[in-house]
Amino acid sequence: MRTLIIGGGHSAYFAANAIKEIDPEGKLIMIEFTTEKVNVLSKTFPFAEVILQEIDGVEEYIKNNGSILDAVVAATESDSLNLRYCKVAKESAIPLTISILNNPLNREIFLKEGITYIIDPYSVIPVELSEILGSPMNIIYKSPKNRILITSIRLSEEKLLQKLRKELSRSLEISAIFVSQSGEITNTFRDIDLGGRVYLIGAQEKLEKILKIVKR
Amino acid sequence: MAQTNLILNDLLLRTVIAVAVLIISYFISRYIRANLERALSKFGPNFAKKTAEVARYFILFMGAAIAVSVLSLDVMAISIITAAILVFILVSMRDLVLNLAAEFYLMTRRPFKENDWIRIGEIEGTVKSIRGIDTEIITYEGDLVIIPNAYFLKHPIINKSQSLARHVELKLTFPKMKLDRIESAVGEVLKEIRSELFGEPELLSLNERGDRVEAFISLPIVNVRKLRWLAARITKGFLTRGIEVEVE
Repeated sequence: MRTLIIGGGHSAYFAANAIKEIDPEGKLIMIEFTTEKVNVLSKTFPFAEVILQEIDGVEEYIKNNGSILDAVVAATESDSLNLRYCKVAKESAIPLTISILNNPLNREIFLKEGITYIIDPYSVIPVELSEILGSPMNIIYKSPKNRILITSIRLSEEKLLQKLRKELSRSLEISAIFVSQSGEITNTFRDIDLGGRVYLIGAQEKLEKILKIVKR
Repeated sequence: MAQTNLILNDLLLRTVIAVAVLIISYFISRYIRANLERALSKFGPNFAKKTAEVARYFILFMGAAIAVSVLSLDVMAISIITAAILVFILVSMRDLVLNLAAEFYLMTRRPFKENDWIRIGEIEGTVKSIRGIDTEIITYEGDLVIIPNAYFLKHPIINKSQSLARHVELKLTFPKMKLDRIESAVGEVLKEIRSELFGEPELLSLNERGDRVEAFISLPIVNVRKLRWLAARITKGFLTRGIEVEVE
């Protein structure tokens, strides 16, 4: 797969390593704006083709290579630049246009422009905090591609346990793993007691319905 | 005189009521538009705005019809004219109405989204954009096909987008060649293009037919527009080895 990463900062570093792992035989191209960073990138990622390009020249590069690029990852340190490049990539009909956010508050702007794959590196902060502090419920992961959700719920009341039991017995689209207070892991309701935590994976609509019940 | 006054008073009253109806329908239409736009915003801002506008004009039209009937103009005549206009609009703008209905279907049912790989009738490709009246699809060959949305109401849609890569089969024909010479060359050329693919290319079959050799290969590709370029690279790869090839 031919992937273009734009940028040479931390986001680009992690993106390049991830892509190398996912598609080790693939062709990776990195575009940076400064000579110094291009030199560093060339040494850090010897498997990639690193190109020095002016900020305003990137759009032209994307347009010219639109028919052979499989994915564009906009990972510069400016969201406005990322948006510019993503829009051109989308216009050039590149199948995968991905942006890595610098400011999570800009997500809506990207969504409005039709950029569907938006990676928010900060989204892990509330998730991790919720798990560490044992919040009543936590959405651990929402798949950007499929309508799959992973959540965890603290089993604080008998009533909640009964409701969950009822919902899970009715639905074939949800799987559950229980962790007791003492850390034992099981997938059956029989052995679970109050105070533990249930981890659910399944269809987004079904799980959202369960979360609504928990909220109540 | 008294008779004239009575008629004038009656006409004045009817005019006041008709104006009141128009004003009320104006405010109702604004209220409906705002609420409908909000309620339908989950289907996209453009679609919500358009539907809300249609609803608004419908209410205004109804208000105007009631106002006219209050004024006691010949309701029958007005009804006939209105019906005739509606029939004329429906007949003359049949395709437009169908496309709007299809847009409603696409927005509510969502059988596919942008960047999905779909097949509709004889057309197969990646969805570039979904617009009010038509949808743009980019085919294997890189052609941009604009499909009127009404087409989606008449043909089954196959959404193949669950997998990132599409496996495209190509037929390679090597005229005046022997099998033993081709076998290793095919492997080498496929290795050369591997970095452009999303997975391993496969040699499906390799057969000698008379004075020529035929090979079928499968390529997992993400960007369908790349196919033409890949075919050119494959041809070049064989030519540099002194082997002539036709790619289909």
